[in-house]
Amino acid sequence: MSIIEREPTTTEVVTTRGEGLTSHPPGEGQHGHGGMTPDGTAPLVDPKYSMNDITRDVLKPMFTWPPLGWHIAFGAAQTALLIGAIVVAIQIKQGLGILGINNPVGWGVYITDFVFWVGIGHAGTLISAILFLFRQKWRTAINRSAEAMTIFAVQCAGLFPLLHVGRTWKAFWLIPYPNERLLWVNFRSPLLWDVFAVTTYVTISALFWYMGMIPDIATARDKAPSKIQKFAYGILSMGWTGSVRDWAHYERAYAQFAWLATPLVLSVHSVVSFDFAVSMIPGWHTTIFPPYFVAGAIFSGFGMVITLLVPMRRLLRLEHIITINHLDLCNKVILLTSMLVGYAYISELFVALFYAGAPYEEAQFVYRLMGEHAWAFWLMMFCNVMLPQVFWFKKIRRHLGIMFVISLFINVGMWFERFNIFILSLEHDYLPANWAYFRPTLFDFGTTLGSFGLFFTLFLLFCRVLPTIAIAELKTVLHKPAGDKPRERDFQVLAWPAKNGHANGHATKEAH
Amino acid sequence: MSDQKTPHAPLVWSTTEELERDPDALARQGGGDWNSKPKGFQTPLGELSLPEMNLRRRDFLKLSGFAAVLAAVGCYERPESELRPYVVQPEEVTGGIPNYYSSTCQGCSAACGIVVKTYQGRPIKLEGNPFHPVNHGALCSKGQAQVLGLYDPDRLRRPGRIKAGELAQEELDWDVAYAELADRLKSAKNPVLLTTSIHGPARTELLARFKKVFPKLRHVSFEAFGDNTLLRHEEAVYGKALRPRYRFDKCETVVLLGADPMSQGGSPLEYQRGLGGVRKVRRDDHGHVTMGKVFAFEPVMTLSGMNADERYPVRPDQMLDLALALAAQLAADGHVVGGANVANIARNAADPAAVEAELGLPKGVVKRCADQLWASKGKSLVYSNSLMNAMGAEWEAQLALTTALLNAMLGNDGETIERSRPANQLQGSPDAFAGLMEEMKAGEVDVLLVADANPAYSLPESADFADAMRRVAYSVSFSSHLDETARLCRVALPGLHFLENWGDAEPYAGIYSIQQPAIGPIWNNRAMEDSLIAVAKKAGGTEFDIEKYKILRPALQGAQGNPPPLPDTPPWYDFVRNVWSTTVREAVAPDLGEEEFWHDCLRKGVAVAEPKGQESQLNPGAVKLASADERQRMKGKAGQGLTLVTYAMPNLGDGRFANNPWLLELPDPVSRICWDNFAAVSYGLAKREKLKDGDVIELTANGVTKRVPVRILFGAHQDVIGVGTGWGREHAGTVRDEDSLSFNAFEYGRVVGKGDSAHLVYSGALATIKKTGDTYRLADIMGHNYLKADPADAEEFRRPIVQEVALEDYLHDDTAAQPPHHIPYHKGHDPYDSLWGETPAEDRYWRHKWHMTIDLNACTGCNACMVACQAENNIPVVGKREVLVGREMHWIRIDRYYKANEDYLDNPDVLKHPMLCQHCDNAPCETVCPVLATVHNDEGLNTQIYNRCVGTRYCANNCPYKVRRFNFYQYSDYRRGPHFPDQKLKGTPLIMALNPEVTVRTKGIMEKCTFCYQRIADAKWHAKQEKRNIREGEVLTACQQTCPTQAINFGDALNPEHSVNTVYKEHAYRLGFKVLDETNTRPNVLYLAQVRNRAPGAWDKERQAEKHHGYGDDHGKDGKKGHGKGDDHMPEAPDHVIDHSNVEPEPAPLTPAAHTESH
Repeated sequence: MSIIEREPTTTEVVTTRGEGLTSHPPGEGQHGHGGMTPDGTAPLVDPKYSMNDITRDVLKPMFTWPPLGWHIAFGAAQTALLIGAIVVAIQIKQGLGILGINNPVGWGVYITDFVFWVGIGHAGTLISAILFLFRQKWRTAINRSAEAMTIFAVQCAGLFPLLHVGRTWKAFWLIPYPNERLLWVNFRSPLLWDVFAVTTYVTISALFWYMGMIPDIATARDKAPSKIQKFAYGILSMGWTGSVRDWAHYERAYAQFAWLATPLVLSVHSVVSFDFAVSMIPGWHTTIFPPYFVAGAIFSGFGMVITLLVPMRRLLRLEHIITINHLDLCNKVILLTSMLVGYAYISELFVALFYAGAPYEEAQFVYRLMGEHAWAFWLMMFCNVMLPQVFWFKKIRRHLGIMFVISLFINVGMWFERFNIFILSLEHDYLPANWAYFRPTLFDFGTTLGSFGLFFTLFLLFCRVLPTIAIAELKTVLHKPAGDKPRERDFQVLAWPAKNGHANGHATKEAH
Repeated sequence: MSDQKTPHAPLVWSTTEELERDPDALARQGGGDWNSKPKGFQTPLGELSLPEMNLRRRDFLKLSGFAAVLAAVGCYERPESELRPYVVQPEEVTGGIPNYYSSTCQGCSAACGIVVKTYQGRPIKLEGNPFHPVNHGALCSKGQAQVLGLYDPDRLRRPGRIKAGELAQEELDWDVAYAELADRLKSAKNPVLLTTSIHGPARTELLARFKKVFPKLRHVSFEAFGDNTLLRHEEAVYGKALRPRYRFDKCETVVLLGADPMSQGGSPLEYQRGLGGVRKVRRDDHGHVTMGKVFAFEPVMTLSGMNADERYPVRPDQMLDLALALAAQLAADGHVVGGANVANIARNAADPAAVEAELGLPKGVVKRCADQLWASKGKSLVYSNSLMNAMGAEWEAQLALTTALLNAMLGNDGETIERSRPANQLQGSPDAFAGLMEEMKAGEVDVLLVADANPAYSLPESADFADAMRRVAYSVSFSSHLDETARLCRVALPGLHFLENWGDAEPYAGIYSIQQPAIGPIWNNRAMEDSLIAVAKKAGGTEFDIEKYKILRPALQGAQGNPPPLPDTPPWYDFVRNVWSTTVREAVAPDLGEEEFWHDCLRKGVAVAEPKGQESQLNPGAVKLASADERQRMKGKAGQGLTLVTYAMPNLGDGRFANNPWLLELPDPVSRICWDNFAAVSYGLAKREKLKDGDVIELTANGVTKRVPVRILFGAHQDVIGVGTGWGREHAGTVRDEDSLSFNAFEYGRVVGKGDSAHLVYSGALATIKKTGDTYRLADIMGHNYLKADPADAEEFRRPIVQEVALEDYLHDDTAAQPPHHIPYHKGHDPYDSLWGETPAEDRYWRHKWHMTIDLNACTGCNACMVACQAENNIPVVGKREVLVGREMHWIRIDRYYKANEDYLDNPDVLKHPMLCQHCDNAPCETVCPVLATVHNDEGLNTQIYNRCVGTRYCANNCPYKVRRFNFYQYSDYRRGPHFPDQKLKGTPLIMALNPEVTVRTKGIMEKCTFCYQRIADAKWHAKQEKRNIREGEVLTACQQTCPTQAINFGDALNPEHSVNTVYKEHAYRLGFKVLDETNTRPNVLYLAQVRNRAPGAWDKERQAEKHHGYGDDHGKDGKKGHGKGDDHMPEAPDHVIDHSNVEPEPAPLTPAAHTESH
């Protein structure tokens, strides 16, 4: 513990990115104890916390033995993962027949899970990249964990396309690489686009996440109590010294990654939606899908952010860093995207039933509304469109329990959105003779459970081995009014530092 | 959506649940709660469907370990294979090239000619022999499945004694058994040989000689579907006890009185071929469009009935009244060929109007039927021979007499009913055996030899056959299985499958059909005929001391040097050859040399002699029709309540193939149920008794009570409950579910009378039903897993999927059958022109372009194609549990839709729709496969590369026809699906039934119809060798080859000689339509719409009206019509045949033919 109590090191001081300690020392200044900034908004972090506090609090879980709660959660996640692994083993041994899929419904729970997880994987990059570009400083408290969520979610998602193919061991044939069989892939197939979209996305997201973490890992290296940790974090920090040159490169690269990741946020789920929009099945063949899927993805991603952050901030004692204000803002995004997906649902229905005049499509939507799986449709409508409307009320937006429950409903609702689109459309397509009813089996749910197990295993490990908060970034918003306009200097740091040497000089000055 | 409320909107549906879309029905079914499934089924979360999931600790650890290993090393699986070369290669066998042998199918007594395709001495496929006058190259589903019966691992494999129903462990030497049997027969006082139908010159000769050795031996034929009544009345009325030959193929009008000749009768395939031909739209000699007409009056919807132009539900006890009314109507109209004598008999037999009223038939049906019959007099047929009419000897005799009278009045004797070439099929009847059983019970029969006959299964429960068998001192079974009868015998001397054995058949007098083996005996079994010869020799008989190789010996002796030693052939072979070289040769071709004749017969498979018999005319004096009172007495209580009707189910027939997984998984053509039979109730009865599909009832009739599942069979009579035969065999073999509720419908019968007058009654008993509250899942190949009504189905009838038209409409407007397209055809405009400028067809396909046409009017929905495809393409059986989930693997299937408005729910029209891969030019499956496993080839085929497939199933999802089939398990490993892991193919002879030309698919792979590409490749190779084009008919797909009604045509669109082009040209915008072509998939399968030869009914008119509005597109019809009147010449270039051509084919006049005007 003593090591955490240590004085800030050089690394720490430099991380303030030009916004000096000196301008607003703790407990001083016009917005000290009132907790409010002059323009009436709450500060992102309670001003009573110093940089040292932040460093200490964020690094603490990494250097202490986890509490019982973590062990219980990790045990549960491991159990779920093991169940998933057993199911996958059975499936590979026996064949896909253990699942509920059948002749008309070729894609069942696995693809639903895939799109569900890909959707979850949207919020992190949105928060870290798009909000970064928009200078939404409130993101600093949550972007790290949201990005981690993204990476893990996309990993879970990536698992399902691999598992759902009949010959999993041949799934690498989807990769175009020169081979002695002289075989190539079909670039016309949306599934192949998926391969590229998802792998690109996961690559960029992971790099973005990792790169943004390097200064914090360096901090952890410097603070690490044991040699092993010091060594490991030393490797991971890639020789970060905290020099001005490091910072200059870092900031530049971070911004470039942000620009690179931003279009991917939009493209990956658009491409996933092409799997369906490009096909010719009534209920799939719809031009609204790309924006609709992206909105849904952001919606479900933020839902999952709430689901994760509410317990995490409590368990890791980070309530003062991930404040209720952050969650409030997330809930506002949820409210917005809920209305977006609601609009998409209704317009899809309207077009099919009253506008398009395509009989098969019309019948498909009547089936969704009133067929044997109608409960899934109405569950989706309730969870995704009706329930989030309560976030119009500020009290509810800021009530931890309610928002947690609602976020769970959103997760369920978004899962069933995919269920509705994929499975119901396949159940009733063109020829009535083909129609069937889809019944998932316990194996379907076993793998789904396993994916949650994988996700939480990774996330719980992340909570313990990596800084869950972007320490360096957070320090830039300490004692600073939220919503403050970015100052010229912020941009100067982002701009070419060598141009006039200003940023360089400034940072040097701060360092001293 | 508003159409839903239209009072008389026509509905199309395939299952009861679909039909019931009204709220009341919903409420009745549990208010739409998705959990309101019958008990005992899958939980809402699904079902643990594998035995492995009864996880014990050890299994759990094993699986965990497996999971870990899997994660660590990845996995790789490849099916094992073995290559075993010949030790000595036979001269005529070349590796990879099939040999064909002509033979005779002995599946039933119809004796169709077959060609056996063998690879390296293994029969893998049976096909109809095109030279054979019975089946003309077609083969029914049962015949197709016989090759699997050959390799049935449940067949007995050696002789042995039978103890307690099982084959005893200790070996039994053949010679010991023969000696024992010979001793027993010599000392027997009353020995009996019980067989199924036996015909064929060598076989009958063998029996005759065997009887000479054992003079006391009686030969009794037993056929569950046999009919002695027919012979009795034939003798009385026509002078000779002969079974006439029914020539449905010569008919223009057929009236079926409670009969289903397509499923039950002497020669079902032949009848089916004939009946299908009746209904084909054709041009007569003057070029006028014409078609025949079939009326069906029947208690339950049967295969024949669902193909009729007019069909009415009639109780079996009303059938006689109806027949008499028909006769009376003909007589009243003076429509009698046979003169006043005949007319007088029928004149006051019944009052047609009263009968119509009593039977609930629409007014004028009898008159219309009679007029139609008279219009085609001499070319019509009234047929009533059926299990459904088996209500008692007197009753059946009366019905048979009336039917005979009707045919005589119409002058059909000698025309469509031939007695000059009487039938030998379906000899014997249960009656003869019922008399015999009295003797058995009295202990008078001391030796009983049973061959293939299975009375223990097909006699009623009350007959107590087991008791009779116990009193027989010594009994021997020659049957191939330890079936219900064999296990009651003392000794089993298992005979051979007909593909292992020599033999012959004579289905009709003078039509001699040779049966030659295509494989040696697989097990230590011997032909029954060989056994009989051996027994006769042991008994000291000299009847079989025929000179071995009487024919061959001179040729051998004449050879240079040392003559080769005589091959060691079984005596039965020598016997057959001797008989054929003498008796048959003299009858057929006395001029030919013996050697030449024999080889000619082996090549052709059949030899036809001139008919020797005489046509005979009805003796009116012998026709004594019963009075109304007598009829009332005869029918007893039938009709006074719920009446039981036993009917023959087309797939299993009398139950002898109940161990054949292909047939068990083949859906019943009418109900689409596989793996079970059921109690068939009408929709009205179900409403009345509050029954729904799958309800288990206690059905009691004739003192027999059984728990049976219910299936709503649209078209059944409201007061009738139907039970189908062939199911519920307890000792057929191992292919049965322990918890199956399929039942033996024969057990509901009863024996009436004693001795010679003993008669088996199967129908007409009063039945009571009691709901048990239990439910049972019937595996429905179509629309399975339906839980409740679906409001979306209201839209369904607007789906232009299967087209149907009344003949009258078609004659007035040749585009009447065209589907109402979204985009109207405009002259010179292809409605599906691509925005993007597609490559012209002639640039894409230049060598071949394969096309198929399917005539829905000819298609009877008999499913023969499904089994043929299964045999040809190594399609696995998945088992009932997989069918329940919806994973059947058939590459071709027959979708069946019902169509009626609300007033006709109990008598709907049936639409059959064979669905297979459409080989779309713009195939949706091809674009979405990420690994290029399904690609188009330059012959227009949509090909599937199994080795490349990784199994994403995207192609199946994107297929609008849903014809792609995925291997969810390693189906090809199992005999009856993955849920019976003990029944693997490997280690059994079943693996030899696989076609080596077709890849066996492993799990995780998509498969589908290939248009039998292996056959195309073969034909191409031959054509290339001979430097010529592929000839018409050289490529026959398996489905096309076996189709009894030749509904399927296949050929090369780029080859003008192929008849498929003629059909395309003739019907491109008339009867021809492509399914879902508004989606621009451009299928290569053209369907010809179903034409019903009748005046447009209420719902037909409704449909026409709707079509004019088609999708609110009020110019659709006009656009098409304008197109239809085009006067361009039919282009020669084939690309117009390939695509929707811009130019209209030249229309030929569609003038109604003379005889169709008359009704």
